[in-house]
Amino acid sequence: MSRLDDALKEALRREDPGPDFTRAVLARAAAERPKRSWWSALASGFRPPLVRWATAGVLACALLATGLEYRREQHQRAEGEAAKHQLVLALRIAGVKLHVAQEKVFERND
Amino acid sequence: MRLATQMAEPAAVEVVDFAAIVREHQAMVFSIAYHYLRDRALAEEVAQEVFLQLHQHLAEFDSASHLTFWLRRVTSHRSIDSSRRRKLRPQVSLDDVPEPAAMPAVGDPMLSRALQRLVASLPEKPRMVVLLRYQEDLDPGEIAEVLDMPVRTVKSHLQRSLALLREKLHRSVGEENV
Repeated sequence: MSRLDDALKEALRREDPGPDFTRAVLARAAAERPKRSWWSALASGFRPPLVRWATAGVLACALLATGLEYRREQHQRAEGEAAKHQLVLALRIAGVKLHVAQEKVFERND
Repeated sequence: MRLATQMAEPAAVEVVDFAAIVREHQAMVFSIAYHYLRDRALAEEVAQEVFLQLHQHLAEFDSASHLTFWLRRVTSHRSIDSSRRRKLRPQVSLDDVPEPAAMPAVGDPMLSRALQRLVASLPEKPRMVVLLRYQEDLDPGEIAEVLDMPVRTVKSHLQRSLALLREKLHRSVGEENV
């Protein structure tokens, strides 16, 4: 440790600004308090971990609901497609039978 | 510890603890700003702003060392910003600062004032490095963390600043033990 180090420590030692400084800081902090209070109260209600768990829960529920809804729609669509195919088949069979009946009627008339 | 209880306590208790924190750290915060800016009114303003910022983030501190680190960091950066804004920095260059007539003993008010003026005339980053080293007694690693700079830069600032200060003092007394 050189003499310059000692001299610098002496020259740059801490100085207390005094009790007026403390009072001024507290007064300014108090003046700012009402401005922040409603926001702080609101913010404190959303503090983790409660919010984190709630958000995770809501997201999980939303994902589950979306997945279930998607599966329900897919199932309904498949059922609709199957019904459509059955209807087309029934119409084709009916058409063939009608054609056969029509030909028999024509043969009898001849 | 006090900070831990403070987080869960109502506003009245918080005010009491905040006052205690201000009283405990005001000399450190004010002195960093004052030795850096060499302007008492401006230093008080910077120090008050630092504590008001602290008041808004009081619940975020989990230990006394974290709080002290934060205060040093914010005060350093605010002091540098304030100096830049008001263009207070090199009002006098190192060469313009009058040299002490003779090398007084350590603890001499004249030497202290001369050194304060010399330190105040250093460029902004080296000045803050010297302040944190000799006022706060931080080692280069700690200074690097506070100022967000590499340790080797801190060491380089320290070496150059000390060489400049030593040279200035040598010129006046021509001693080798400074």
